[in-house]
Amino acid sequence: MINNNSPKRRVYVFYILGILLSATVLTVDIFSDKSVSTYLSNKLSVLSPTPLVSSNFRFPEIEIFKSKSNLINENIRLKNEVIELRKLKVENEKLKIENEANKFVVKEVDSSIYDIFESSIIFKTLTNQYIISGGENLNLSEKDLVINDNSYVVGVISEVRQDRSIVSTILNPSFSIEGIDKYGNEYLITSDSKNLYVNSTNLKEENTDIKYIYTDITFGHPGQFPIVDLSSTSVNIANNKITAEQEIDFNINYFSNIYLLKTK
Amino acid sequence: MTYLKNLILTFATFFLIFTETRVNTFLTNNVYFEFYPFLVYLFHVSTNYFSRSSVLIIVLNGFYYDIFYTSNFLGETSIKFLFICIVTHFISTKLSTSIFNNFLLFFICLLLYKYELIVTDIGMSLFYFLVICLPNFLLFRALNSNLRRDVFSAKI
Repeated sequence: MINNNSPKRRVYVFYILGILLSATVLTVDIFSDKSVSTYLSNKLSVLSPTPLVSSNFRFPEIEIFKSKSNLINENIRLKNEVIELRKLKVENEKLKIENEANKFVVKEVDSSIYDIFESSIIFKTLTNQYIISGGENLNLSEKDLVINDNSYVVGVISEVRQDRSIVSTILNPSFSIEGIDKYGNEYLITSDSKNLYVNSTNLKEENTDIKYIYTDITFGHPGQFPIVDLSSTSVNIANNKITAEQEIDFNINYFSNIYLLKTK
Repeated sequence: MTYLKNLILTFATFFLIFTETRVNTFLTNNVYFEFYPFLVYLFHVSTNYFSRSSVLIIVLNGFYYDIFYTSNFLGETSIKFLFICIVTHFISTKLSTSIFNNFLLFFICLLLYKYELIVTDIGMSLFYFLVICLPNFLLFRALNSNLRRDVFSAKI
C-alpha cells in the first residue's frame, strides 16, 4: 500500500519544491524592488508584442484636403477670413487687457503644457486591470492619468513597464483618486466597480451645488480634468462631510478610445 | 527528446496564456462569457497528467504571466498555479469519477484561479462564476475526449 502511494507522494514533493522555488524568486524580487521582473520584462519583450502608440495626438483633428479645386476654394475662404480677423484684432487688443487682470483669478487649462498620447488596450488581466500600450518609452510614470474621448478621467496608471503600463480603471474595486471642486473642497473618489463613491477629505465650503470634481496639481495630477459630474446626483452633507454616490456609466473594452496625459 | 518536448510545451502554454488574455480583452463587453484555455490546461495536468515534468512548465508559465500581465511580484502566479494543481489533484483522488464531480472540481479550480477578484469583492456573485465555468468545462470535456482518441497512443 505504501509502495503504491509513494510515487504519488513524490509528485506532490516536486510540486511543493516548485512552490519553494517560486517563493525564493518572489522573495528575491520583493527585496530587489521588482528589478528582476523589470529586467526580464525588458529582455523578453518579444514574447508579448505591443502595438505602437501614436504620439502627440491633438484635439481637434485637422481636415486634409484632397483635390486642387478644394484647395483653391479653401484659399479664397481663408483670404476672407484674414480680413475679418484683422477687424477682430483691434477688439482683441482691448480684451487682452481685461484678460490679464482675470488671469490671476481664473485657473486655465493650457493644453500646450500637456502631451496627449492616443493609446490602446492590449490585455485585460485576471484581476480586471488593463494593460495599455505606452510606458517608459513615453516617459510615463505612476499616477499619470488616462482619459476618454470626453476628457473624463477613466483610470490611473499603477505600474509602468518599458512599452506598456498597467491601468487601474474606475471599474476596478481598488481604484481611488483625489479631486477638488470649484469651491476648493478636496475629495477622495473610490469605486466598487459598479458605483463611484465621493467623500470629502478637506472641506472649505459646505455647498451641495457641486457640478464637477476635477483633478488638481496639488495631488500630483495634471489639473482640471473632470473625474465625476455630480450635477444630476444627490449630494449629502452631514457631520462636516460631503458624500455622494454615482453609478458608473462607463464601459471599457478593446475598442475604447483612451488617451494618456503627460505633463511636459 | 524529453527536453525538446517540454520546451515546445512551455512555449505552447505561453501562447495559451497570451491567447487567453487577448481573447478575454476582446470579450470585455460580454460580462458572462470568458475564455480560459490555460485553466483547462491546468485542470488537465491536475487530473490526467499529474507528473513532475509539468512542474517546471507551470512555474515558467507563472513567471511569464507575472512579467507581462500583472503587477505582481515575480513568482506569485507560479505559486498560485502550483497550488491549484495540488489542491485539484488531491480532491480528484478523493472524489468518484462522474461528470457532476468533475464539473464541481473544475468550478473550485476556477474559483482558485480568480481568487484575487473574490478576495477584493467578496459579494461577487457565485452565479457569475458558474456561468463562465460552464463553457470552459465543456471545452475541457471536448478536448479530453479527443485526446483519448489520439492515434499515437492507440494500441495496434
